[in-house]
Amino acid sequence: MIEVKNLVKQFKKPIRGEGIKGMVKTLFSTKHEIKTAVDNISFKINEGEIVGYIGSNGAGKSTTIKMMCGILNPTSGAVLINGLEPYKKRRQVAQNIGVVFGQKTQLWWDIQLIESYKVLKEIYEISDEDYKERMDFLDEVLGLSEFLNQPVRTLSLGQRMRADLAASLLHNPKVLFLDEPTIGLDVLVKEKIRAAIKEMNKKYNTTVILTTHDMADIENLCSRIIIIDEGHIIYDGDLLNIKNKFGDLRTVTIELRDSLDSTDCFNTFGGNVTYTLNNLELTVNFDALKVNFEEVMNNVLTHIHMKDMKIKEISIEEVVREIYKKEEMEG
Amino acid sequence: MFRRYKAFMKTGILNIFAYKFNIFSWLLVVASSLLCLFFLWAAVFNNSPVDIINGFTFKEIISYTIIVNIFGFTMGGGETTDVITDEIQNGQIAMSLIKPISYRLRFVFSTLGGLLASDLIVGFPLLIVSTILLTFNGFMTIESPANFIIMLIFFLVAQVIAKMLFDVIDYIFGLISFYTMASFGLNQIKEVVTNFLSGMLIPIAFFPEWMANIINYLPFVGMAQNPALIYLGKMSVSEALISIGMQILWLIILETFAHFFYLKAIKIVTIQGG
Repeated sequence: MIEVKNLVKQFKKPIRGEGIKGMVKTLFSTKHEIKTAVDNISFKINEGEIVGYIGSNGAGKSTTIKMMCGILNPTSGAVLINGLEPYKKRRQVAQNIGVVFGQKTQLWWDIQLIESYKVLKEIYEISDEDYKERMDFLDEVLGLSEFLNQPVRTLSLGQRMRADLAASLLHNPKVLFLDEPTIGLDVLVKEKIRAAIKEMNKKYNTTVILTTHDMADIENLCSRIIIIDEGHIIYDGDLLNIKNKFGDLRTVTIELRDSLDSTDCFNTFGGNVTYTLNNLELTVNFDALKVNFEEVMNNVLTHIHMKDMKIKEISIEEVVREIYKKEEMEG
Repeated sequence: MFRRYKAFMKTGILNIFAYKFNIFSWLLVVASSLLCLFFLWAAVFNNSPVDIINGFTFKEIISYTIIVNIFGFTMGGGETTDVITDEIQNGQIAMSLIKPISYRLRFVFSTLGGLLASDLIVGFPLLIVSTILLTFNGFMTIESPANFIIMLIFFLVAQVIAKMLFDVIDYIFGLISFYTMASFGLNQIKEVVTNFLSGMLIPIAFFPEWMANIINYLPFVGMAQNPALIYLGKMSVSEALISIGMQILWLIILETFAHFFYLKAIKIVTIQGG
């Protein structure tokens, strides 16, 4: 089980001037600015959960993940992974976690992929039977055998990501951290990676924490999401509930038969419904939790003749965008 | 417990074999610099009114220079500073820290692997060849075979500790890059300091007396000069034992320092990128 308690991480950065003059000044100045990357966050994750940890660039996702894997020390607060603080008991915790950083590789660049796995087998002290069983399983879900004998530097990005994911799972970690595992991959590889994560979670009850910008990852994998922005958690809960909290936004696009002069003829529902008119296209936006869908449509349809109509539910990506917007306006 | 590190030792060994060309280029460099040093020392001794300078005859100083240079090569097998500064600069250190292995032991094993491999394929063959040549030409005299064998054993022990001293100093210099975030010529500084203070260039006895008195108590002499003096029979048994004792003492001091330095440095480490 993972527990994050009042976690804070601040970075001290020298205040840099611009140009050569500024560089020289920086050399001799002791002025620092403090940037708070993670600001007092707390959450708990149970065994076997797949949690999406999302937020915009620079929100503090990677910093949190790094503290959870024990490679960054928190400024204050604590992370407990099965009762141990990873940055204090780094080696002990490392034995039970797997990590994939989409931007980096843990494989040895110049040697054959299979050799990297053999090194990892020694490092994690994996028994021969376990190694064989795990390799068979990973080969089956990730299709490794086609490039197992190639040096890592010759692998394509998709192959390398699959190889890296396999490397992080070889020792059957209880917790798997994935920092943007599908970045830059094509749809087919993404699906393979997702299938492997699901399969691993089902078979070994692996807890997975995943950061991503790809909403399809979240929708396919995560039962729970934590959204972080500017170091604060702004949402933690069910994927379905997020809509209840931030609105069940609908967009109805109607193609008109005759042109309209203005949208004034519609009842405005007190600002809860917005209309935009673009030639023969009328777009109606509203929150289905606040106003009655039927009433809105009745009201609109009594005033127009329509040719076609499309209804769109909000995607999780738009929800997140809405949350950011809200935060910005409030902040 | 050491199973985890076997792979790193292997990597260290493979690295040496992978860069065979380095060995040949080094042989070329060392051969030419030895030739220069030979003529330099010849000129020094020819223009000197005495036959023994600072306790060395011409023949002894030539033997010393050769033995110490063979050392110089086998030390080249370590690359701890380079690896650490690289890892810090490109953020790859994250991948090292997520593994259940000690950051320090990993380097101890890969360096020992590398240095032992370079000993086996270059160091010892060269040592044997030069010992035969030097003895045959009267540069080196083996007075009693029994004494030579004792000294040879001492030398082998001193040689292994010398490598470990070399690696811990390499490691400490590497840790500095945790703070500087760049190598800033760390390697060059380290090389100048160790070459100068270890007696790799000239024996410490050639320094002014007050300086030699200080340098002889520093860890660097244990990395080149003292093992060479043991091998050449320039030390008595008790002196050799004291020298090895000093090496071990410094090794403990430096490893302890490195350990606490690491604990401090790792707290401020910022993983670059992604």
